[in-house]
Amino acid sequence: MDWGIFRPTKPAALCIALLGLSFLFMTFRLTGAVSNLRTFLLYWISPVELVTGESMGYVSGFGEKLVSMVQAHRENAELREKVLKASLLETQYNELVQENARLRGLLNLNDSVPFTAQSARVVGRDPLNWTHAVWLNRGLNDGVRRDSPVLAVGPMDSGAGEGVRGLVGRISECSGNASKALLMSDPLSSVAVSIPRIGELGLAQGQGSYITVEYLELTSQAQPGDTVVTSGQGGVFPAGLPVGTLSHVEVSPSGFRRAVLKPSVSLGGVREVLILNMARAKD
Amino acid sequence: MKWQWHFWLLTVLGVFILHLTVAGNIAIFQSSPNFLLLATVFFAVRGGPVRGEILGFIWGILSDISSTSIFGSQAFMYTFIGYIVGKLERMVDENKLSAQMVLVLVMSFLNLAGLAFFETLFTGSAQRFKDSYGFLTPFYSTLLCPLFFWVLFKWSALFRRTDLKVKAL
Repeated sequence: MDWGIFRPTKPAALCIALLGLSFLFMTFRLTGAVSNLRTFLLYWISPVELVTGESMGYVSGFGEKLVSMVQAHRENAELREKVLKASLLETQYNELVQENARLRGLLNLNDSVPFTAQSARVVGRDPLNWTHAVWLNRGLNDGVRRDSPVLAVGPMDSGAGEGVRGLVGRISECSGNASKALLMSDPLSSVAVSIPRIGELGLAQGQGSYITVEYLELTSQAQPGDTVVTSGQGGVFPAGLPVGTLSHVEVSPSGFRRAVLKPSVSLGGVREVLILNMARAKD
Repeated sequence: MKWQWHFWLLTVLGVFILHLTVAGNIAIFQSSPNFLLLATVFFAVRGGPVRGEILGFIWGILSDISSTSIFGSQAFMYTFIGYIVGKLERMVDENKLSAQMVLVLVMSFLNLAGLAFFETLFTGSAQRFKDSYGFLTPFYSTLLCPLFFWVLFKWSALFRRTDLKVKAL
């Protein structure tokens, strides 16, 4: 019998062993042993990703940095003036916070989920899944934890300086000094959202290259152009974070209405982000 | 023997770092060349099935860790491709570039199909592969194949790899 290239030989036996091992990894990828192995390997690989990503960032952005230096000098003067105004606003803000706490106390409302924020830079992407995950230069040592929300920051469309542009995704894996953020467009990503104009809730679901808002009622008044924000349900994302706008509404095969979501930020081009470190019960 | 380890260690790390840094930065329409697959094919054609499958497995695992694909799926596909290409080494002229380009194109599509299959098998749908831009990846890899093979050829020659068939491209 002629086996051709599949003739049983030592290379074939080794191939079968490696294929078997790979298949075992796939089958038991969610178990503790394989997850721990992956975390262990990630611990060693993340510095490589971090260093190379940072280096490429410096090289590829050299021209932009030169222009930025010139602009920075001009902006510095403007910002000094804004800081003076901000100190006045801060006083007003503190007064409002105290007033808000007093009124919440009177109404017996629970405190909203407290969180702190820290900035991070995108240092790498998954070349095979460009719009699915990004590497960030902050990790466990910086207090980043799994499921922390990730927001895009940058110049606002309104021209009101820098600000939060919208939700990007959540942290899916962390190592010492780096972390991997799962973008909203990844099929594994789901975000509980609401449409403030009509007060309706839905679920923003990644579809690979686009995002949909699922489980809208059949009688939903949602229409293209409606703003979508996080609803705060599910405990992962705080309420009110901008997610995007609806671009198309249709009836889905599941019997609900479904809308295609245009994200507030271009997920393929996000560079600087804000990671929210939320105090969770398990922490 | 010492050079042996240096060569393979530097090659494995170098190609992986190249894949992480360069591939993403030269993406066109969200598609980037797959340097790991190209390197697996290069060494399998010249070194045989054992080298092909071992290098494929290592690069596959490294790629699995740094991406969001099913853990083990890329290791499976690169191992398989490394073995198949290695077994074809006698049939493919390692000096004939067009033959290798066709091999890369076929193996790239095989890789995509395999990854989509595992995605469907383990998650129920191959959502990540519905993006039409993804199908540009095999063509992009094939286009860069001559340049990348030339770089690997020069790199191997630098270490005077007599056990690899690095005669002339």
